[in-house]
Amino acid sequence: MHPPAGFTLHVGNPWFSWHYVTSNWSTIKTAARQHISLTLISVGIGFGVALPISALARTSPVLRAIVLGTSSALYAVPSLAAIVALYPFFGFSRWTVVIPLAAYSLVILVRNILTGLDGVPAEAVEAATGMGFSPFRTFLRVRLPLAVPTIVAGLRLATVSTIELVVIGGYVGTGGFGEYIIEGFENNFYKAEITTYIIATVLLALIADALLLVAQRLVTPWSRRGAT
Amino acid sequence: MANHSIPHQIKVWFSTKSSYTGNQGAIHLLWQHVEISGLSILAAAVVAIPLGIGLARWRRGGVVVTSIANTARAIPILGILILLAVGPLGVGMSAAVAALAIFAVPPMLTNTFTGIQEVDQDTRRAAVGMGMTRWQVTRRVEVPLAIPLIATGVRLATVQVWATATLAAIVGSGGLGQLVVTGREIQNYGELYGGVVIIVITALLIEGGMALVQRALRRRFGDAGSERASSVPIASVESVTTAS
Repeated sequence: MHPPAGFTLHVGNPWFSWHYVTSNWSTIKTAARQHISLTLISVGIGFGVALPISALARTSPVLRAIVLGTSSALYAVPSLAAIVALYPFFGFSRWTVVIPLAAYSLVILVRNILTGLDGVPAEAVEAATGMGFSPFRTFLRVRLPLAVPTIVAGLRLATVSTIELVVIGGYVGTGGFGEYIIEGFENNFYKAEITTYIIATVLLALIADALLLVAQRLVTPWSRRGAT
Repeated sequence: MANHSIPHQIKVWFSTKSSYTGNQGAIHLLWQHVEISGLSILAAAVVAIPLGIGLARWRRGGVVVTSIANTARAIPILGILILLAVGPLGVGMSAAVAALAIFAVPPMLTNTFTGIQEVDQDTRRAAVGMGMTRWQVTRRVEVPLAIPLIATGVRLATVQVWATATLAAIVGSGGLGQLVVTGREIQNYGELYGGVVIIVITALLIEGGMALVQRALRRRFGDAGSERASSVPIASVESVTTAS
């Protein structure tokens, strides 16, 4: 992973170099794969847990307050502290970053899912009930679809912020782009390496955001004219 | 490593005097953390709040605010911190302050902008009807009415900056993150987890303290912003996501 010892002077040390990108292309690809899989697993777990928790939180004001309170407290925990704290237990395994990042995604998603479900017009629910829908079916067929734009907004937020936070995992060497940003810093300020992986992170975030936006348009064609 | 001994190591670290004193002691590092966070929030506020007020008067302002917020969201803060440290600012406090300030702008900007924009049109017309100039309307009507939301922005930015300032230690800018970084490097789990505990507790205190300040401000400047602030958690969360 580290360049050979004689290679650390970085002639000229430019801010960016295509030569660096082309000669390290396979490393960049591997890092991208790691970065994407860490992001998907974290957001996936976060979403999987957020959905039932939000549904539960809506059943009573007390539960709701507990869920929202806990989640904003969780959010105040700095990711570096969380990641380094887990490191002695999980080492280089993906759980060192996945656990904290899934928790942060959970926080974002719970708030958005709750907002989305709250925003469902009462008439729509009444209509469904009038048509004889069971509460569960109403949730699945009426509330959830109408909340999709807000939920996807939350997913976009969670995904983009997870992509940024995976970078911090690089500090403990859990893979992804961050590892090379840190490596460039520790390796005599190798600017070309640092910049390359920052750009890679930004591109990944923008692409993920755009893909989710497209996905949202596809699953909720009715909202295209809407205010979202 | 014997995981069961970690609580014991933490206890030892907290009860050793040298953990708190000296250049690498918790007290000095806490002060550095306050300095780094305070300066960056101040720098960001000086830019973001007037900019938000200015952009709110402009028809296309919303597009500018959204693009600034979205761009900032896509940039990894650790990357910018390292880039500034290897670049013109050098390793040290100014790199940390500058990087954190960049990320404190979006929450303050979006909330200031929204606060001014959402001032009731009739209120604005009434002020103009009373003979106020545009500048007077801004200063005496719009800004006071927007204060609850501006405060929300400052609060979000402060919590975010305090948590994120932990990263400053990675580029040698000090702050509480230093305990975690040093603890990890020398495998001193007492210091590492002691650092984590201090960081988390101070972060929660800041979050709670800011919530109290905000409540007091609301009581003084009216409740205008509160309902809105709680009904648009997307906007608020959006501003926090670059945190830590």
